[in-house]
Amino acid sequence: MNRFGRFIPTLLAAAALVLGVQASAKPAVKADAIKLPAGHVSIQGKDFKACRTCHGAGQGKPATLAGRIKGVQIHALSGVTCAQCHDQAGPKGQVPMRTCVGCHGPTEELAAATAKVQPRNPHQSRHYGTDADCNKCHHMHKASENDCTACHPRFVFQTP
Amino acid sequence: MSKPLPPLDPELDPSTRQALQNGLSRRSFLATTAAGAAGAAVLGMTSVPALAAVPEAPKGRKAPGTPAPGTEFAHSSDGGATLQFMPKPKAIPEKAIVATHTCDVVVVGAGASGVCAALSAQEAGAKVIVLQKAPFAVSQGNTGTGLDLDGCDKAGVEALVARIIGDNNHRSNPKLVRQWAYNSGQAVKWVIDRAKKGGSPVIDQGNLQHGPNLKVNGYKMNYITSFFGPKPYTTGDGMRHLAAYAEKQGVKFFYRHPAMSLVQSPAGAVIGVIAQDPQGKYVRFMAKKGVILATGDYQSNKAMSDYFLPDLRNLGRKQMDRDGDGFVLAYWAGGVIEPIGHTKMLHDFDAGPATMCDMPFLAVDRKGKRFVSECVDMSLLNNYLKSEEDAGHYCQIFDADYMTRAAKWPGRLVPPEGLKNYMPGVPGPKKGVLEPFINTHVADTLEELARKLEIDPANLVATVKRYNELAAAGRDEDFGNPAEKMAPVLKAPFYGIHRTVRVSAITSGMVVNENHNALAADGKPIKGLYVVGNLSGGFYGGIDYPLTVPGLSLGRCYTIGYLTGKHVASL
Repeated sequence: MNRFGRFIPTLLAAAALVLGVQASAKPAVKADAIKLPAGHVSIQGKDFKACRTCHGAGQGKPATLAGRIKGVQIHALSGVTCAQCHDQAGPKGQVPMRTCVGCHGPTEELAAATAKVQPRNPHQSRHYGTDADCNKCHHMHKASENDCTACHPRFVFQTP
Repeated sequence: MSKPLPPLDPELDPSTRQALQNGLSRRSFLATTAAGAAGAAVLGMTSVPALAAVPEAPKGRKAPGTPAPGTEFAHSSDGGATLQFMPKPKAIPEKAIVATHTCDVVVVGAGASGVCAALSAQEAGAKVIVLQKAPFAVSQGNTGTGLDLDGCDKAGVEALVARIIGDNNHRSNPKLVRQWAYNSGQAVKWVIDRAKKGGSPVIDQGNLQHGPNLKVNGYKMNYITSFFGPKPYTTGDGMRHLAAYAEKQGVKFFYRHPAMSLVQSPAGAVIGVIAQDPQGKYVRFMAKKGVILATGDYQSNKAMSDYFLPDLRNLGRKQMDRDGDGFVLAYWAGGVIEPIGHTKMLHDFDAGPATMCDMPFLAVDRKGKRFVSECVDMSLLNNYLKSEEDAGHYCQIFDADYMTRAAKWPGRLVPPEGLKNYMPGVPGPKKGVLEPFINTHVADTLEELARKLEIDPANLVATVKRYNELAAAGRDEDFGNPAEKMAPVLKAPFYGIHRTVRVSAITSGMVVNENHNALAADGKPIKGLYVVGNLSGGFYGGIDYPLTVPGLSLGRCYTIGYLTGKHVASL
């Protein structure tokens, strides 16, 4: 883990907190089935909160799931269905940021929650204020990335 | 199919004529294919299949953002290539439009040219709306320059115009360069005054940065130079202050409202803009006098960049979200994009002192080897560093005695204490720099310096040895530098500035006349459509943006924004 990794659990916990979306339809993770390491306990019927009981600071297991499972899997484990994000854009379309904000809440609150992330608050910048498009860094169906490093090689943090 | 284009107005200057004849437009494509089809029929040839400039997504799975089937795309100027990065804006049905606003002038894009255009139109009595896709005004750089005509010899103004056109490889529209020369003093003075009223700490630096151009061909010159700084304060902050003032004067800003398409009358006049609001709903903005596009360049649009400026393929970008939105809008409204081979601007003023960037210290590439005469300006080095491996990186190397060795060189030396401000390895607060980009290093040995600069130590040591021999002999047999432009690297500590030139801006765009009215392929102005800032072409045209006059780029953007706003308001 890099030297900023200690902030990741906080970020993930914050994400899990705001992801308390009520879903009635069955979540679909078929195309992005989670590959568990050998000997991992069954996750059948479990949700993302259950993951966090082992994968948290001081629990003995990898404290962060960032980079280990995809964004879509975290959403599915939290009960979010495909249609909840994709209904506006169509199944293969890009999901606009306003859909993310619709569940996760105002970007100002997110920026306040990550104010202490080092070396910089990733959600507040002179380029976008708090309005940077989530999709620049947080990907759902592929590994997330740190878009800052394209220009700022010293802004190192792992993107959940 | 349309008829071949009528002959162009003989009054048009040669650069505009060539851009209209060889640039990209809907009309020229139709004319070309019409002629081509006739030729093919006569010669009994089969038609050439259309070549996709952008590879199609693999079959079976559509890439996200892939345009819907049936989307129409732009074509290359010969009609042969389909350009998927320029899809025709989709038609927005009347019932999808949730609101309509009406004003005199709609400005699309709140940057150095757009904010000026909006404010000057408002001051000229127009009701103005600005649409901006970002949450606030956005710009870059610090310096914007104008000529203080009262202090200039008229012959000097013309000599400077000639020099700028020469540095643009003689491809400028001279009328546009003269427009800057004879109006920029007034415009820059106006920007300084209004930005100050908006709370900006902007100052007039006058002649401070123009030492080499205080006389041109022996004629006296005088400058007005807006300086939005020092860093990290930039013109971006400056335009936010100017926008704050404009808002107080009554300009209405709609932030987070990207323009999606232009509204045209049946005759083709541009009469409004449809934008998307933050909720994804469509809002229409009708403009009684005209629409001014000021959306900037396309450096963030990879497919578009690779097509118009393949030189930039491996080079980094300084700006974000410069997606070429205005190019798409103006093209589909009938405008003409200047032909391939656009003018680029690549700098690094941040890794070390800007005033030392053109000093001919020993320069090495990432392998630690000399790659060109150090007398070549930084603004041109991108041409030597285009490969994937080089990617714009190079290092300037000098020794403990640099203050005396380089004392007579043009530029301004920063003493060792000041260099610390540019060293990420030296703790402490930094002043007047963009901290993420400082990249200057000091070391007691060349090997240690090489490691800090991320170059091969053995190569650097060998290069320095050879360079020192040439300097001692007073003959640069490898690259031909004059003897007095060599500074041997002998005495510790050794210094290195690791610069990375990246794209500041692309300065080619839509073909316009002196009113910044967009021209169609037949050379006639498109009623209601105006183009300013880096989206407008005709001013530059060379391989690289010339650093003849520091601050020319912003000075030009302010000037044409200021003039065009006033002009459209007067219609």
